[in-house]
Amino acid sequence: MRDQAFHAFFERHHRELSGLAYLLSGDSSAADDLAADALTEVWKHWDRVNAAGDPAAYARGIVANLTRNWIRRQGRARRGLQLLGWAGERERTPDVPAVLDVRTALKHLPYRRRTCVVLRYAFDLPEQEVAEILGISVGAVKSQTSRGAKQLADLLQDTRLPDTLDGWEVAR
Amino acid sequence: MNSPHQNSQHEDFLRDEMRQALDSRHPDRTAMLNRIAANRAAGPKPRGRVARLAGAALAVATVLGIGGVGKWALADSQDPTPAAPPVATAPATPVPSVVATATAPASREVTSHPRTQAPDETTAPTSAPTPSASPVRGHPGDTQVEKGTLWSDGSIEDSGDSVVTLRAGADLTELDLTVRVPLTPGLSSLGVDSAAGTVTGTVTKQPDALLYRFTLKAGATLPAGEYKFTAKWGGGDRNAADDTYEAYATSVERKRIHIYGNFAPRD
Repeated sequence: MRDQAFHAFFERHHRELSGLAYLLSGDSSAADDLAADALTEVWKHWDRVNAAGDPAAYARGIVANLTRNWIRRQGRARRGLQLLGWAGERERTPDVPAVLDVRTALKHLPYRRRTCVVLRYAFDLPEQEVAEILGISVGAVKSQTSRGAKQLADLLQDTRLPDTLDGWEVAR
Repeated sequence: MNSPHQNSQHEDFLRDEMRQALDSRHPDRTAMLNRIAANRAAGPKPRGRVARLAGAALAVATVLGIGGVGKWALADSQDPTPAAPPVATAPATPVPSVVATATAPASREVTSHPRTQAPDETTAPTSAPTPSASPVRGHPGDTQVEKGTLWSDGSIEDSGDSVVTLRAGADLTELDLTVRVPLTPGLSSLGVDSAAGTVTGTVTKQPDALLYRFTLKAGATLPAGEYKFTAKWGGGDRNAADDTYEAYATSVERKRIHIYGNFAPRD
């Protein structure tokens, strides 16, 4: 019963997949669409995906790909507007606002780095699985994650970290 | 510089930040389901040219043989909803214009809309059912469970009820769903259960089958979403292999939709 199995899969994973798209894209309503599109792909290839092992891993990979494509499209659209002189308010705000939330901060990370950080920290996936999802080596996942985490922490640090950690003053 | 200790501080901090961002947001489950349904409806159909040609030929044959439907419509000409036109040829014109010339033999099975009686509550199920019991389409090997923005599935609940699940990717302005349960010894209707208040259900007993009919009230709109319509029956062990359902609907974009299927398990 493919449809029933897929429905169970949807109920189990739609929150997570939408959350992944949300952290990667930074856009809440686009995230639901991206996750739904990824779920449609899962449904289309259900038998194969199921036979191959872990449909959830497959779905996460599709969310990551679709979101990257979506971000590219957004970028192109915005550049197009800029060329026409119709750039929105967004362009006038400073590149790094004084107070960053994690969603905004994530946008400053290169996409692959961002994906590694999100999958490792927000979803606690093992390095091996992140490597398979992204089609890169475990070593690359390690280095991307560690760089990403450092960069993200630096972006957030000023506003979020306490003044001291374990008695040490935090360098500003 | 980056001591392991500091790294784990980073990690906990980032973990908390991201978890909070996730927890403070709630995905719109319904919107996601609707989008999946719409995606599935819009998906490319793996049909070759041969199938399309065959479909065109079938459409022509259907138009020529439309009298079969005319017969139904004639038996029920005061029905407020226009009789559903057959298959894909679906012109927007109501069928009565066709009725005038309807002469095809009653044995005709072509599209056989099981139009039995007005669905509204005022009509008691006493009016004579239409003569030849043409089965609802949807026998195994002859199904069309998805069309346009409408997706459907038939399933047998453990309780023995037949459930048709409809998932509409767009609002529906008309809906006429019939579940046909062929009579077997001891079979009796236990009523209907409609997932939407605007959709009324009726049961008719025909010589050879129980017909459960679910109709959206005139003027009402069924919002996009998923709905379950239950045909309840009792009567011991019986095989549901011959049970079928068929639905005609009009989506908000004025598209006529015709779907039909059965209750066999799907792979």
